Amino acid sequence: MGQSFHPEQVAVLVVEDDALLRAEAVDLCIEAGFTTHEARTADQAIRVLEHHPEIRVLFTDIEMEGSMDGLKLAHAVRERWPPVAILITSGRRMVTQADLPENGLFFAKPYPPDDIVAALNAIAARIAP
Amino acid sequence: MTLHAKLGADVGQTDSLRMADLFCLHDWASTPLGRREIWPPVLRTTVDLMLGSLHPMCVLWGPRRLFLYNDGYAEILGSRHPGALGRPTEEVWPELWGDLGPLIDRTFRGESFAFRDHPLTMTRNGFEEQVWYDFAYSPIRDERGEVVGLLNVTSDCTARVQAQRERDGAIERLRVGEGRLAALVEASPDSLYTMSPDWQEMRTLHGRGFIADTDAPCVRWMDAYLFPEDQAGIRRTVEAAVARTEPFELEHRVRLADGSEGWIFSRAVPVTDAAGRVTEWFGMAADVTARHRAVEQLRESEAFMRGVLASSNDCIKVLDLDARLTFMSEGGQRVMEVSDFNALEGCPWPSFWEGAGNIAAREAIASARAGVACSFQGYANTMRGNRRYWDVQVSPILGADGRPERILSISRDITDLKAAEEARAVLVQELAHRMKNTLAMVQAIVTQTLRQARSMEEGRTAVSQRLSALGRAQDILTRSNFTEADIHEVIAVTIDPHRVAEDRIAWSGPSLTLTAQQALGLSLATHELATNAAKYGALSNETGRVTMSWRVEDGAFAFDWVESGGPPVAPPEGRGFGSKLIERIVASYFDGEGRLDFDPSGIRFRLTGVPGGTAVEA
Repeated sequence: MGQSFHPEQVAVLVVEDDALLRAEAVDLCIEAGFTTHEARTADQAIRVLEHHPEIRVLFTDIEMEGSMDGLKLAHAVRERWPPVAILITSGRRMVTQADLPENGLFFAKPYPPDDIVAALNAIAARIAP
Repeated sequence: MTLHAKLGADVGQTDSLRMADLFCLHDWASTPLGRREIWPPVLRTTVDLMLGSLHPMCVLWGPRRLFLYNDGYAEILGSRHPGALGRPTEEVWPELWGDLGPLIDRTFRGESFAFRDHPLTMTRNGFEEQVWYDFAYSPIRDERGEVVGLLNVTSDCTARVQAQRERDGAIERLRVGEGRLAALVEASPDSLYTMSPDWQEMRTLHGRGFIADTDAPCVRWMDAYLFPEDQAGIRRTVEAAVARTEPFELEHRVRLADGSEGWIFSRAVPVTDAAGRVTEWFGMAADVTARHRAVEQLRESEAFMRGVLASSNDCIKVLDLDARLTFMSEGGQRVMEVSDFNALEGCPWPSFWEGAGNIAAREAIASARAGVACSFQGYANTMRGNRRYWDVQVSPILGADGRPERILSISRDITDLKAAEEARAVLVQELAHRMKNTLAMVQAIVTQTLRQARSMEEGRTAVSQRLSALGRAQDILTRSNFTEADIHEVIAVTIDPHRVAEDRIAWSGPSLTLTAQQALGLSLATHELATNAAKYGALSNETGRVTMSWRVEDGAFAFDWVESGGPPVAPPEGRGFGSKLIERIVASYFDGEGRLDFDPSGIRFRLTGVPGGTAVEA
């Protein structure tokens, strides 16, 4: 890296319907130094994004209740907020690059926390002012 | 010849004028006999006697055996009449002279001869004729007793001899024929029988060992040879044949000589007399028991095979080498829902298959034609359009020359198996997902616990206890297929390891179904509260109590944990994972709130939310 950046200036949105997993993902992001928001559903996630333009990373599960799943959310976010980086995780599906929005990253559950942190840091480094 | 014809026409008249005329007209003077007037009296007398007889006679006279004959004899001479008259006998019958000359000489020496049916070969008409004659030679003596002539009284018995010979021949042929017939009958293993014209009576039966003999006429022959239940049918056939008077054939069951059941093929013909009346029926019966049993066995074996084919739910088909349907088993028609096989016969079999199955079917046919069996699976519709998945084996049926002659195709409906396989695949997929989800939960619990642990020891204990609580909750879910669980069961299972005395932990509330996540969450929360109570709260002394209660009012769920009688409660210095789990995470599963109250008289926890996790906050 070698480049200095300030993670707290990069906000992450964690979308996960399981409270336990969501709590752990949120803690992981906070621990890594990022400002972290959370949402249980895709619809909630859209509202959070609308209120927090500083969010630069979407970290979402795929399976969730509501009007859309994580993949649809990811595509919608890519459409509405093109700069937002996208991380996707799932325990059910092996997602291929073709399913993901451009530059999206996939992590199979259960994921190694360090991989997520490394990905977040790389994103933060790329978009650092 | 005219003369001869005339003479012939007059045979039978009492006078023999013609020869008498010839005797008168003949120039006797130029012969050794001389004029007739000077003939010795014995000659004249003999000639007169001869000429007066209708019976063929001739006289041979003197050393030269001069030939004299009457009208009866003229016929015997054929074309030699009338030139023979008065000539030496040797010249008249040169072809006979060698045989008869010695006898004639002996007659002249005084002997008499009589011959019956004596064969002679005459050339009297210019060709050889085989004839038979009766004749008698008698010497004629003069007044001194000297033999001077020979009288031959003869008759042509050729017709009689020939008739006799023909009859003898016919009799011989008949005898040979009968002998052959007898040999044939003897050589045949068939039994023989004779019946009265109306079949009421059996006259004889030679059973040849396989059925009993009948030697004397018998009217109860049916009882002797036939089983009671067969008699009526056989009687009808017999009566119809008797009415028509025509040969008839019948294969029927009989009682064999040893009393066991057998089968005979019987053929009977009516025997008629010269007037055309039936005098008896003659019949032969062959023992066809072995053949009948073989046929019966074949029929049984065929019925067995048919039964097997019919009862199999496999669709068994035979195709020709061009893959056209020629046969489909009954069971096959059932599973293929075929109502009329005639409509299918000759149809190309691969066309029943869709998509990849069609290609596989064509390949299977090509393989079978090359003599190699193969199998495939694919979808094909039944005749009623129901889609089925089939496991198909296609094999060549080899002819006597070892080359594929036809093709056997056996299709088994494995639609259910296929569906079960697919369901299993889905289940495996789902299981993998749940396992990963559980691992993710484990990961979260471990990470969260270790993040707050003050020592490895504390972390290890907390992790083990929490995972153990998670495991027990999973047990409940496993029993209910991972989708839901009753709250009573969840509480009971979670509290069980923490129970200290019968009455110190109590709970009450209505039966309530929780979602899988709610069950896991409530289980983890209760575990945290109980662990804390055992360490610091109501369960840490000898008297404290824990009371849990829940209710549902107006669709809202409320759960209370109330401790009492424990040591005084002091609020903790910081909030750990336990608190977070209780207040935030579990509450989220119920779409509600969790509130932990560190009341000095005892910790209280209230969880509110939606039961059954129905509504999701939008």
